[in-house]
Amino acid sequence: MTLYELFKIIHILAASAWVGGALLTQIQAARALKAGGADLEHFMWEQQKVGPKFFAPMSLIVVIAGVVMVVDSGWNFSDLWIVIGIAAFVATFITGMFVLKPRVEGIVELLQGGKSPSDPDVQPKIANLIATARIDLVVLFIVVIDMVIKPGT
Amino acid sequence: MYDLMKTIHVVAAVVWIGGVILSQVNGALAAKSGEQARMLGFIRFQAWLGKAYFAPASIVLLIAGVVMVIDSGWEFSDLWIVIGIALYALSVIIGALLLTPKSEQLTAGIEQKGMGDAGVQSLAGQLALLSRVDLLILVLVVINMVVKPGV
Repeated sequence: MTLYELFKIIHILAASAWVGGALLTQIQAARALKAGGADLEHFMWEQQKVGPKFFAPMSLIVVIAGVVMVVDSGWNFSDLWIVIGIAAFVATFITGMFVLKPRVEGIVELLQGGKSPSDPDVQPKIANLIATARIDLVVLFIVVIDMVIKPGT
Repeated sequence: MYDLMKTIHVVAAVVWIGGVILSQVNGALAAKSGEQARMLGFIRFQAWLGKAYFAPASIVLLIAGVVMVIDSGWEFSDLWIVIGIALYALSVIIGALLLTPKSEQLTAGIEQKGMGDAGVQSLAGQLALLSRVDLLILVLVVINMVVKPGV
């Protein structure tokens, strides 16, 4: 196994965990919203854990392994498909760290403060969070397609 | 045609593998909480995912993979494709014949006897081990698809 293959495996597994995990989270969100109450509260509690402890490390592994692959191979950072991939990574990383994470924490704080998930103060915030995460998920799938098709090559 | 099928194949693989990995994390979180309601919710969700999420993803992945082999210069007798199909079959068998029925048994066990029951705990341990074996098989498939032994 070459160094390139090793990092490709790491890159693919981390990307799968990130993108596939994000899709599964959307399904969980839809079910939790429908069920409401304790299920929704548990879902938000879970998101507070998996955001920084699962999705953030996975996204960093994806980018580190990707950079090593570019350096080790004949690809260039100026290649169109790599530029698209990096731009989308930056966009989704910023969204995760500076938009999704604080919103999850804010909602969990409201729930822990005794407000119900169906409270008029909380419900729109949850719906807004899930909609933002859905846009983020679309960006992630575009990156997967970009990595397969490699436009510009 | 090949690019389209490869995209579908990769997206289905991402959906499947990513779902299995996050399920491991969610399972650990539910177990750590020690709350029966959370554990029950997690297992019920897994039983539902098996039929409504993982099964369709695995079928789409297989169909796209078969079309790719037919449309390309690869052969079904190529070593890496044989290994891929064998590991795929193993994962599907584990999912359909072991994980799904055991999830349903565990749900019933927790509802009737509670999480503290020795039999329930043993079944939960078996299920956790099986799901980790299944994940390991999927990781081996990814390694096989990247390295392509025999090429």
